[in-house]
Amino acid sequence: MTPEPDHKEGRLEHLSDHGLLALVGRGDREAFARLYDMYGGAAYSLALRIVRDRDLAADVVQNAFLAVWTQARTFDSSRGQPSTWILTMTHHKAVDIVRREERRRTEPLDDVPAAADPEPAVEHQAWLGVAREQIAVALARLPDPHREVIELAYFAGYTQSELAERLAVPIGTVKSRTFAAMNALRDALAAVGMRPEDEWNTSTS
Amino acid sequence: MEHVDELIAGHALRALSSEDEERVVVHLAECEQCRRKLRETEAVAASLAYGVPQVAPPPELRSRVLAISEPVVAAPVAGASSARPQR
Repeated sequence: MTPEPDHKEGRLEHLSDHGLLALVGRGDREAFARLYDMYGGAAYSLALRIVRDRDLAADVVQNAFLAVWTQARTFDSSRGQPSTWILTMTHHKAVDIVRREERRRTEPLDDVPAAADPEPAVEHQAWLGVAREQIAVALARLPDPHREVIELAYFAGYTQSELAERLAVPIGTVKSRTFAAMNALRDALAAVGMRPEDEWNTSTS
Repeated sequence: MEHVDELIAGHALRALSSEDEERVVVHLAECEQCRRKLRETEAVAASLAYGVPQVAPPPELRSRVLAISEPVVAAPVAGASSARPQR
């Protein structure tokens, strides 16, 4: 087994996420390690929130980063930020597992064990704290029926048809609520200076 | 061309029925405006990931993930010679 790459101070520090991903596409193991160190924690936290099982969450993250490694070369930088790509793949894989496992998705969150070591990388802590608060505020400001469809779809993996049945509303209502909620979230984040489609500078804040 | 804004939101959340999903994918292939909308919507969805409690991944997950990038070497298989004796 070859030793794990340990990105050295300096060589990769100044690179944007797009730059890192381009290096990964050329087989750069240090850049891959750096991307994992930057986004592995967010990916694992998201996966755990959705699948509610540490082993399954780890499998989800491993599969998402396998996709990063194998698809980085063909990543089209016009399709958005690498961090969005990584978290979108993580989300979709986690939702697929929840559906396949037919895990009950409305269980209280209490059964997710508390983190033994809940410390993200130091360089991310301040930024994550601010982001988390702003996102929580943006979500809280949504009208209840809008927040409900986002939470049940994004975090619990319900399809729109399942939501229509569960909420006893027409599927057209589910679709329009989802659309309105996502637009409202975008506007709320923009109002506090977060434009998610831009690169969020997580490495220097 | 009829755009599919509402469905893009559902697509970004991976919540569409297979029929709606197919409509979106077909439309996205030919509509730059909707692809731009999808990028924006996916970014908003991904931002939700930062709103969940942040939990440190187990350290062994880093090793598992980084093992993905290990060069594939045609390593000699242990016991291969005894399993397939040469004539």
